Amino acid sequence: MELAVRQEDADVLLKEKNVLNESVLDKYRTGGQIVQTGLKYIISLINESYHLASSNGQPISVQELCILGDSFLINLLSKVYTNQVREKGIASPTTIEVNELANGFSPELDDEGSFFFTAGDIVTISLGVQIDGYTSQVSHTLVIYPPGIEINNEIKPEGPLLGSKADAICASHIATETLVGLLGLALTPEKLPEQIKNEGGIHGSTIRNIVDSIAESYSCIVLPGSKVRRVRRFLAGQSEGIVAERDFKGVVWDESHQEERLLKKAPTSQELILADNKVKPTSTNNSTAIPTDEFIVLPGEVYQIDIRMSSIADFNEVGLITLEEIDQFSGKNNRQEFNSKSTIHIRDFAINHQLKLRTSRKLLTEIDKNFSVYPFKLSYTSNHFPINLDKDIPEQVENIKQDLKTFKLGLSELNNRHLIKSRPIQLTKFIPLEQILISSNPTGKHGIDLNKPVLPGMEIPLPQLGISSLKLKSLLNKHGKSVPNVRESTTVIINNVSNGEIIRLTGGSKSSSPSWVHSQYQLKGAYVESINQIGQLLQDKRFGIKVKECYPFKLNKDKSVETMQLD
Amino acid sequence: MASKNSINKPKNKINSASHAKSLAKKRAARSKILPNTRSSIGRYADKAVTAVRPTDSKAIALYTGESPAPISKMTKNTLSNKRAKKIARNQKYVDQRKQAENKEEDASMEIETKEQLEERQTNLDKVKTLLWSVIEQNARGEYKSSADGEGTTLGIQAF
Repeated sequence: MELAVRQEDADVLLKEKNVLNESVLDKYRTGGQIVQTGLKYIISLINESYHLASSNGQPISVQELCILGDSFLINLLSKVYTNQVREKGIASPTTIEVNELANGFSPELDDEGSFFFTAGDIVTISLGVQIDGYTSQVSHTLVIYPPGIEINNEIKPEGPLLGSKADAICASHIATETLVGLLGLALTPEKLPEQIKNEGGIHGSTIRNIVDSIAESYSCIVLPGSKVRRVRRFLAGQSEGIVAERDFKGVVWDESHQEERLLKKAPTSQELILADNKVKPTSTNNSTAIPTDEFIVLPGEVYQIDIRMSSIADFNEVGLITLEEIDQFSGKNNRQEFNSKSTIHIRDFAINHQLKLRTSRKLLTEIDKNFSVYPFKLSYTSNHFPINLDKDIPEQVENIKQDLKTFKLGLSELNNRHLIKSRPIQLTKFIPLEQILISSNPTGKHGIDLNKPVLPGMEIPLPQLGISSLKLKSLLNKHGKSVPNVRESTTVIINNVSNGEIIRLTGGSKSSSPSWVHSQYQLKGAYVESINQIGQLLQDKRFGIKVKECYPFKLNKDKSVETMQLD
Repeated sequence: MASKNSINKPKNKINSASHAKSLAKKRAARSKILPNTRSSIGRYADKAVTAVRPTDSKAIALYTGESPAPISKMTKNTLSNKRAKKIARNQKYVDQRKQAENKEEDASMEIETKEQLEERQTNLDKVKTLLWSVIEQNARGEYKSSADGEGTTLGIQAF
C-alpha cells in the first residue's frame, strides 16, 4: 500500500533534508557519539563481568546487558537536543548475538532461562540511535577469552583466538576497514588504485568484488543480509522486509550470489547459464526498490557498511550458508534446539484497525507516539524504563518485569492484526549443496516464506536451482548445521561540506578495535594490491584518506562497577 | 389440479399453450413442404444448398451455426462408474500393448548422442550438472585452500 504524499513534500523529506549541512552533520555526529559510548559501555560490562571479575558471583546475562545498554542510550539521548527535534530515540535495540545467532536476538527480562557466554564464544553487539531521523548504527564482534593471566599487574588473555572464528573476524574486519577507505575515495577519485580507476569510479560491483575476494582468501562466505547501503533520513534499513524503500541504493548479498559463485567455480563453460540469470523485474511499480549493483558512490551521501561473514573452513563439503528464522515453537521438539521469542517489533503504518482490547489500544497509542518508524522492544513501554543506573538496579528490573505482563496481551492483538511486525531471530546455518541437489522439488520456485525479511526482488534464494525459501527452510530443518558468524557494521558520511573528509560515525579504533585473533590465512586474490593500497592511504595522515572518527563520551568508571552488583 | 369449472383455473395459460402448440404444428408442416431458402440454413452448414462462392471461407474448422446431428437411437442403459473405469483401464492396456509392439519394431534405434542429450536438457539440468561437478572436484580436494605464510593477526593482547 502506498501513502499519498504531495510531490513537493516528498522532495523536502527525501531530498532537501538529506543534503548535508552543519546542522545535519551535527545531528549525525551526536548520534554517532552516543552509539560509540553505548558500545564502549556494553563492552566494558562484558569485560568486567566475564574477563576481569573474580570467579565468584554470577556474570551479567544477555537479558540484563540488553536492557542496561538500552537504558544507557536513552539516558544519554535525554541530555542532547532537548526540545530541539521532534524525534530522537533508539534506532535499533541493543542486540547481543552469540556464535550462530545472526539477527534480532535481544531477549526480554522475562524470557525463559538466562543466556550467558562461555569462553571461546564470539559475541556480536549491535545498537543504533537516531536524532531527528538521522541514524547511526554499529555492530562489533568480540571474543570471550578463557580466564586471563597477569602480566605487569594487568590481566590479559593468554593467547589469541585461532580457527574458523578467527578467520571470519579477520575477513570482516579487513573488509569493513577497506570499504571505509574505498567510500572515502569517492571524495578524491584521483587517489583510487589503478585497478579500480580502470573500472571507472566506485561502482556497486566494485564493492561486491572486493568484499567477495577478501572473503574468499579467508575461506569465508559473506552472509545473506550483508549490505553496504545508502542511509537517508528515517531510511536506515530498519524496516527491511516490511516496507519497500523506494530508490534503494546499495549492494546486498543473498544466497543467489553464493549460487553464482559456485557455478563460476565449475570447470566447464557456463556462460549460457549465467547469461539468462540477469532477467530481473525492471518495469514494476516500485522497481527502484530492487537493489542492483549498477550505481556509483557519490560524495555527500551517508552509507552503512554492514558485513557479516562465516567461515566454511570446518566443512569438507561444498555448501551454502543461509539464515534460518526461529519462532517460539520450532525449537520445542525432542531435539531440544535453541528457542526464544522474538522481541523486537516495528510498526507497520500502512495498516489501520479498530482494536478490541483497551490495553492494546493504549499500547498502540504509545507506540505511535514514541517509536515512529523505528523498532522497539516491549520493555521500552514500561514506566520504569530507562533504568536509572544510580539507583537500585535489581528492584527496577523487577518493576519492568511486572509492567511487561500487562502489555503482553495487547502486544499479541497488535501482532495478530498486523499493526506491528516482529523481527524474527535468525540463526546462521550451513547446508550441504548435495542435499539441495538430491532433494525433489516438484513445485519449483513457487512459494514465498512471508516470515523471512528479504528485500524486494530477493524472494527466491536460489533462482538458478529454482529453490524457494520455503523449500530451503524445510531442507534446513533436516540437514542444516549451525555456523558461528561475525558482524562488523559502521556508518560513515562522505562529507563534502567542509574540507572533504570521511566521518566515521561509529566503530573504528575509538570504540571497537578488533579482539586478539590469529588466522592462518592471508589476503590474496585479484584485488589484493588495491586493498593494500587503500590500507596504506588510510594510514597516511597527510596525503591519504582523511578519516575522522567520532569519539565516545568519557565513561564514568564507577557506573559500570555499580552495575556489576546486579544480583 | 384445478377442476374444469374451478374459479381459479389458469385459463390464459392453458389457452396460450394450446395456441402456441397449434402454431408450431403449422410451422413444422409448412417447413416440410417448402424448400430451404438461402437464409434458412447457414451458408456453411453441411446441408447448405447455396452455391459455393469464391469469397467463401475455406477454413477447416468453421462455425456452421448448426447444432450437432441428433443421435437417433434412444437408450435407457446408463454407464456405471465401475464399467467406465474398466473401459478406461482396458483402453490403457491396449495402448500400452500397441506401444510395446511399436518399440520392438524400432529396436534398431540409435543411442542418443551427447549433443542430443545436451539439447534435450533444460537450464535447470545444466545448472545441476555444473553443481555436481563442483561437488566432485571438491571431493578430489581441488578447492582446498591451505594455510599461507605467516597468516594474519589482529588486535593486541588485551581484553
